[in-house]
Amino acid sequence: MQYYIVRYCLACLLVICFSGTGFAHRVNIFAYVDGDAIQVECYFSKSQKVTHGKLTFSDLKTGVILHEGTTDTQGMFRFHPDMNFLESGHGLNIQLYAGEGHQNHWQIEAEELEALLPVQPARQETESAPQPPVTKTLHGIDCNELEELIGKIMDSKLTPIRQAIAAQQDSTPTLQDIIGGIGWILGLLGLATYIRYRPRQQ
Amino acid sequence: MHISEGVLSPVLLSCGYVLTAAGTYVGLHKADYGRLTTAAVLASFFFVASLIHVPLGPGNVHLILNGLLGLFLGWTVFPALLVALLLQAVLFRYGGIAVLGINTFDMAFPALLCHCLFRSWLCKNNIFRIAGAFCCGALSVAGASLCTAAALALSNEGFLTSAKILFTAHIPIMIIEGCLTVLIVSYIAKNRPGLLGCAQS
Repeated sequence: MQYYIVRYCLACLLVICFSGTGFAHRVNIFAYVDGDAIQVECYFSKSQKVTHGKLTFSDLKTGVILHEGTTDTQGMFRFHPDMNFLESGHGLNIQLYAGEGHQNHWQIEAEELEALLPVQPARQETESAPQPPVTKTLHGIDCNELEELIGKIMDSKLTPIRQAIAAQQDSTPTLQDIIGGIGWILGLLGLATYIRYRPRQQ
Repeated sequence: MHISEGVLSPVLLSCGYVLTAAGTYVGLHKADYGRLTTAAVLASFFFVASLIHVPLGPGNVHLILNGLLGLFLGWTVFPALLVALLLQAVLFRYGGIAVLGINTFDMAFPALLCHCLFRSWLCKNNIFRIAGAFCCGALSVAGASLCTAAALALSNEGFLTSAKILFTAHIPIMIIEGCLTVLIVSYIAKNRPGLLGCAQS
């Protein structure tokens, strides 16, 4: 008996030693506008990042490939879209190829990309009579500078929220999923047994 | 080992479904309904085993246990794996519905081949039993890797490199699964020899 206990303990130890907490079947991608660029995060799980995953950035409307890149060791990539694309008013599709048949994509709508467009200077009211440029000020602060400053503050405040949203994309199987799956298999077993051995009418 | 949706060509996806449907039909036709519980328990093992992963370099691989299922179930491995992979696709989002056919065939076909090659070894002496169990566990994973690699390579030439990596990455899993299958078969041979079905053969 002790022999079997020892054998089982060794088998369990073998499995536990080689097992981790991450799951590598589904690759996740999350992208958002961050400052003057698009930040892309790619991961299999919270602890398993996609290193050297291939990223393809394409126009959501036309499908034209705009840029290709590779994630770093942290599964991150920063993309600076060119002005022509931003002015087209199209959305962006980001395709991730993580290798071994794993891929996923993320879309950013055009409205979200508008934040990357530079702020247009205020148009002159009368072009016929050139006047020295008037800069709107609020208590002595330039409005454009103020807008830029608020943008930076908002970016820093929103980063944790964005990361929390990214974490929610990580659909790691829960205990309920596992038990539910086993329940389904046993339910199908019951159904098959019933169909096979149900009382038949003479 | 699960191929994601959108990777393979429609022709290959259709072929996967056709082959899996044929295998499942034969499996259900040949199923020993007296051993349905064994099939359900093994399908549950497979369903859960995919959650145990082995970190390996930039990626990681997971236990498959298709060899164990093939060894005991024979043709029934097709319906058993189909159900387990369907539940993984729905509940865990591993693989997907479109690639369910090819994923099932990739894992079930090598397991069936190993069953045909090594099943009779279990009824011989201890050395043959251990060798048969190890080969079945290890070679089923190797076969599944090759099938997945072939599917990726056939669908898109760019995947050929990653397909080679796939096979290399699963070498540790082959060894682990070979050892696990030996442990399980040895235990069954000593405690529940009836499950091996040697008396009937």
